[in-house]
Amino acid sequence: MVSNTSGRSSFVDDLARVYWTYALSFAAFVMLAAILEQVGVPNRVLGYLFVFFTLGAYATIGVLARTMQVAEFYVGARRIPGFYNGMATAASWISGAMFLALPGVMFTLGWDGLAFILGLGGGFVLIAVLIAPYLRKFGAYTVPDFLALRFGGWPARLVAVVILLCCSFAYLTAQIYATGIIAARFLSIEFETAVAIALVTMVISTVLGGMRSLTWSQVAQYIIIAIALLIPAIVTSLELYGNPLPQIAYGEALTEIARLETDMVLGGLAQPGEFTPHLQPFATLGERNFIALAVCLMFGTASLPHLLMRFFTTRSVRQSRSSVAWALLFVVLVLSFAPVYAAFAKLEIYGAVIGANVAALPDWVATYSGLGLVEVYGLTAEAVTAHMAAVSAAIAAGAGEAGAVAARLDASAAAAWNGLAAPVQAAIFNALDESPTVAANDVWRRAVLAAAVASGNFSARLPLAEFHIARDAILIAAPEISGLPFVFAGVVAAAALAAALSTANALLLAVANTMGHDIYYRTLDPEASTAKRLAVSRAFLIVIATGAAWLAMHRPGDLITLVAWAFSLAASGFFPALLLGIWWKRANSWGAVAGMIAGFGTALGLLLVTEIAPDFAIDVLAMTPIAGGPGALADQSAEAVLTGARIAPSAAPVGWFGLSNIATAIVGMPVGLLVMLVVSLVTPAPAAALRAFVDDIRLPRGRSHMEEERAAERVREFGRQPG
Amino acid sequence: MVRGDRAGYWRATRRLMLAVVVLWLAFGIGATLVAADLATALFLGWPAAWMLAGLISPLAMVGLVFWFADRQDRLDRDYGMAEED
Repeated sequence: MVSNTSGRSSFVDDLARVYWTYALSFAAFVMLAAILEQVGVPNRVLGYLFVFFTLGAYATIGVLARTMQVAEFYVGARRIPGFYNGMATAASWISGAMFLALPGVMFTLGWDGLAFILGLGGGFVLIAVLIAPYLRKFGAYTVPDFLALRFGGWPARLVAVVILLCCSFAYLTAQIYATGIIAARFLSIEFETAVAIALVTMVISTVLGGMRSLTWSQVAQYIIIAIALLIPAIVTSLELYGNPLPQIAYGEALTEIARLETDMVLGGLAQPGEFTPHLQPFATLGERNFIALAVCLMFGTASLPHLLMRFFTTRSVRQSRSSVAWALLFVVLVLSFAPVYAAFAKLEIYGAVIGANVAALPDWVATYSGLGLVEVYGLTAEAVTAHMAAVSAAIAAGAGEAGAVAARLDASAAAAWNGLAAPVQAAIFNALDESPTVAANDVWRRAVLAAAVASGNFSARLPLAEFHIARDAILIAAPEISGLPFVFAGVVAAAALAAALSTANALLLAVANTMGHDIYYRTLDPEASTAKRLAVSRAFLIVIATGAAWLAMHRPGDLITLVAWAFSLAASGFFPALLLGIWWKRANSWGAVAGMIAGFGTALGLLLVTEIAPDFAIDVLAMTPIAGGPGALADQSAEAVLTGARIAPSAAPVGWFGLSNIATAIVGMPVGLLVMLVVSLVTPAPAAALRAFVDDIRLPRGRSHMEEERAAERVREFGRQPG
Repeated sequence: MVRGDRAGYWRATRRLMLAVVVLWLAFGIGATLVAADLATALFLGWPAAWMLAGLISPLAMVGLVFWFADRQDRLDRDYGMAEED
């Protein structure tokens, strides 16, 4: 692939050529799929095509990357350029759950949703200035490795490993869960099977990949994510405002939304308290929770090991800084689409759906209702389709009227049927009685009309209270709302899979490295050979991934909340030790170990108490119940709608000063910081050698600590210095 | 500044770090506090509160990191602390 003889620039040019070819062939593939859709190829087949094309592309790039590594070997040690490393970092940091849920979160929370945008972006500033260059100079394999060397020995390493495993495990579970949901929805397979497939794909790609080749497939995954977000937004923006820059054009949409909100209230379609005013700051989260959430996401971003690990692989300390800058640019590019999609969706829903005749709602509403993602008057087209099958069977068995259907159904179908109002039953029955081949969407429209009239709404204009859309549908439905073919929903799904896969790979690699390096090599068997260490880390990887998949099958709760907890746990456990380890020479091992345990313990304890024992929290810890707040996030999550079970809000409604547990780091991190300061000061100062070590990582110049150690190790293993 | 002056290099690095952290606080947290007072204001056809938190702040943070990377590179070179690559 790459026959590289003329140095660095041609290597980078080759990379650019590979990725352009790849991006163009993806675009060509989407066009082909759009044509196939017009010819009448079923959506399910197209779904499979998308999954196989994208997975095949990542695999191909992974194999190409191995060839490139060989080429690279011959022209010397130039590793991953900052630009590409930034792209790969962005891909491993944008998780599937976040990608899918953020536009919906913005839709639900309005202005307050910007806490996610600010918080998720802001953390990169901290990484660039406070952490990344110094970890790169140290040349660590893993975050616990750095902490162990800086804070002298196994207690720091052990505590760090436990923290890393806890937050990575929660995050990994969320990724596998998200992948399972997407695959189940778009490939129409069982949720459990989809989770198993997700597990196998993630494990194989991580085991075959390794850090460098993963980086190249993550760049490919970022490109898919960006394409999936760019195209529908640009098309909508051009249609509505003739402006190809959606991030600029949506300002107009925002003011229009505010006008439509007033119109809805004046027109009697909504009560003032029924919806979140989209533009009003602090209307849902409140000022305190908004800031707490943003702060936790910032410090969490700066502490998550699978993200920090990316900056160990840059070419130089200098490149590690520019890598962070590029990563932030690419992350902000993706994040900035979330409010755009939320605004366009709200504009469409408030303008064209609410107040429209319920029997003549736009087609996309019927389409996504057929997927169970939109509910009108308590009815989804998906549910109506299920009733139709039952009613057809009952008619064939001789039922002459709607009232006679239930007697001819089995118990569960009869119970569901009896849950419908009589006029709705009659509408479905009559539609099928007139014509057995009537389309499901038409039956659904008639059923919804019957329900509206039965509730006394004789004008049949849809009020806001009777329209529900699953949070994650905001993004998936966006292409169709803007008039693009259904096939673009497949592009969005492929992008969500790419986001979940790249994050899962990074997490699995972080876990595997830590188990193989920190636990096995550094602690259990310091004489182990490189091959043996690799084998052990892969075995651990499979065990951990299987455990996360097992938990994912048990549907652990709201995804975005799960992810936010991982950020809080990482910030409370790692941030004080990382910060003071680099910036305060007086910090010693007692302080670090105590600080990590105290910070992480406080955050985890708060989470457990508020989740499991809210009564105890109120009685003994003097917490108070929180009204509204981020708990409302869980209500409309797609997984709640998709998996059929409406999960109770998992962000528990108790806390101190009205602070939700979605942001426990706001307590945990200061506790960790304080404990580390105090314990360090009352115990002896670190030895002179350690202070010299800190001085050393503060200077970009010179060999890294680990390079020297690796050279010594090679001497031991092979009896000589190579080359 | 003197090439090879490690203490001076670290002082300059620390100053730059503090400057970036202060700007980060201003754009990350400060901007949102101002936003509440701008709830109904308009700026270039945009709701001003939204523009501040949703557009200006994230872009400012991107700019901040690029600016920081550039400044720190210059410090490294000026003090003779840059890598040899």
